[in-house]
Formats: sequence, C-alpha cells, structure tokens
Amino acid sequence: MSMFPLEIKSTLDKVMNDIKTDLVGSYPNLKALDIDNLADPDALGNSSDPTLLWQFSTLDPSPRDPLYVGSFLIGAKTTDDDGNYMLTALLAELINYFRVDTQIWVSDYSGAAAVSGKGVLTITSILLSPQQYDNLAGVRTYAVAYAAQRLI
Amino acid sequence: MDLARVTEKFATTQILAWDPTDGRWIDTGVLGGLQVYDRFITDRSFGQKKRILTLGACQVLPEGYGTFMLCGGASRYLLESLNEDVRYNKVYGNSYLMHTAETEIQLLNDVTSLRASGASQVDGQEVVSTHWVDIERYRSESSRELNEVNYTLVEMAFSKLAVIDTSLTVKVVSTGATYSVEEVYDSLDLQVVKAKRMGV
Repeated sequence: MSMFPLEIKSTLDKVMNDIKTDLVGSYPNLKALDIDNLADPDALGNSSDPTLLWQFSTLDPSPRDPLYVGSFLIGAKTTDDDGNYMLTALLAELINYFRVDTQIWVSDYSGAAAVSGKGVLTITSILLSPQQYDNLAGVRTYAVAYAAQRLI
Repeated sequence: MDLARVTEKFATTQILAWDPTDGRWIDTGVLGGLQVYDRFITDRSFGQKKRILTLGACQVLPEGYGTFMLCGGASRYLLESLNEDVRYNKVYGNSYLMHTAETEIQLLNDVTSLRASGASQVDGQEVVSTHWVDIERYRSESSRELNEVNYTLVEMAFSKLAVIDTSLTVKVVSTGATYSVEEVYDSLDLQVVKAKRMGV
C-alpha cells in the first residue's frame, strides 16, 4: 500500500532540517519548525530565535498515480529584525535549495532509519508571498510547486 | 504590650511542608494558626479557598517549600503571599495568605527520539514531579473546525517552586484527566497555569 504522502512529507522535513544544520553557523540559534506540527512546544512556535518554516500543503494525482503534482510552503520567521534584513537573507538562502528544475529524491524518513527509492520530485515554480505578521514576529514564505513521480 | 507574645499565643499548630521531589510531607519546625474569621460566604469559590495563616513573631515559613498543611488537618495550602505585621519598629507577627490546593497532579514530560527526517517522535511520558494544586474552570473554547466540540480551559494554581513550562502535560492522579499547558505566569507567590483539557 502506497504511503507516498507520508514519504513526501518526511522528505520535506528532512530537507528543511538539513538546511537548518547548514545555515545555523551563519544564523546563530536558527530553529526549524513544521508550521502544522501541533506537538511542537511553544518554545519553538513563539521563540524569538530566527526560525525556518515549512508546511506540506498538497499532493494530487495528475493525471493519476504514480504521477503527481503538489505544493508546499517554505519560509522563515524572525523577531526583533530591524528592516527585516535577516528575514530576507534567510529567504535568499532558501531559494538556493529550491530553484526551478531542482530534483529531490523522495525517501521515507518517518522511521528511525531512512528507506530510500520511494520517488523523485522536481520543483516547477517558486513564488515569494507578501509578508505576514504573527504577534511579535515577521513571517514570509515561498509557495513551491512540484511534480512528483512515485517509484513502483 | 509585647504584641509578639499575643501572636505566639495563637501559633500553636505544627506546620508540614510538601517535598515534591521525594513526594512526602516534612516537619518545618514552625508553629502557626489558621484564622477562623477569614472565611466568608460568596458565590465565588475564592471565599472558601483563601485562608490566613499567622505565625509568631520570629517565625517564618522555610524557603524552598511552597505547599503546606497543618498537622492534624486534611487540607493542603499553597503559599500565596507574605505580609509582615510591624509595630514599634519591630515585626511582631507574620501573616500568610494561603490558597487551598486539594488536587494531586503529576507533571509529565515527553520521552522523545528522532526520526530519520530530524523530526521528533514521542515514545512515552515520564513523571517529572508531583504537586498539590488548585484547579478552577476558566472558560470553554469552541473548536474552529467542528461545531459541536468544545475545549475546556482551566486555571491551575501551583506553588512558586514548581518548575513548569508549556512542554509539560498535567495529569490529575485521582481521575487520570490530562491537560496541556498553554501559559504559565506569576501571581503574587503563586504560579498560575492556563491549561487545556485533553480529551473528555
């Protein structure tokens, strides 16, 4: 039984956590947060530290399985960021990982060990959205569209 | 008149303190007395929950404890506020505002491990500490998605010494009911927790 949505979601989690690891040297205390993760304590959600954000949004058969199209959001949140320069810098860093035509191999990272060879997704567009505000923080995201193939 | 002698006359009962780490009551070595005049009839519950504990002139409740009971009594109290009674340049008594705490709870912490993606998963829960608290219903919060579902928000009064944050879960020992900690703030010498009921 296919678990492709779970595999895509766990791959997105893995990619964003790896990006956080890559960038934390340049952005001290950088955190990473799945926007939809209800189990995350407030320590991440309302932290004043700069935070990478993402949200697994859609995955639709097109025209049918094993071919899909979908979308997800990636972005950043900063607090006390004069002129939003850190926020914009984080966004500039992120786009380097998600350029159009970038291919990301899909594995199942939901368990303790990764299971590879589940599929591949290709970025087809990445669009910057207007800034939003979350109480004390500025939030800005990209809407990323992709085409995906599940490997049978 | 030595007012201290007057206050000491009414401080006749041994006071015990709750040790949350060991989970037992210990003798503080201090004598005090609850005042009968502090109770009043009201449609609000605080009239029955606030008590005034007076100690003799030179006696104070020990630092390092926030939950007390009087030897021979069954009620437990949280220390809410200390008021010195001063006359003729001398402290002749100490009056404490106490808040009854009749519910035994456990603070639970998630035991987590990492998935391959870097996201955490909860493998179980461990008991961090045990406390006596006062729980009052705060309000009902409607579900944003399901019309018939309501979430109960409660206010819990903890002693100032409890270590609490929003990552912890509160479990009522007698009923097994669990609450998610939403907010923690100070009120006088108490810590107040706003918590949301998990499940029904």
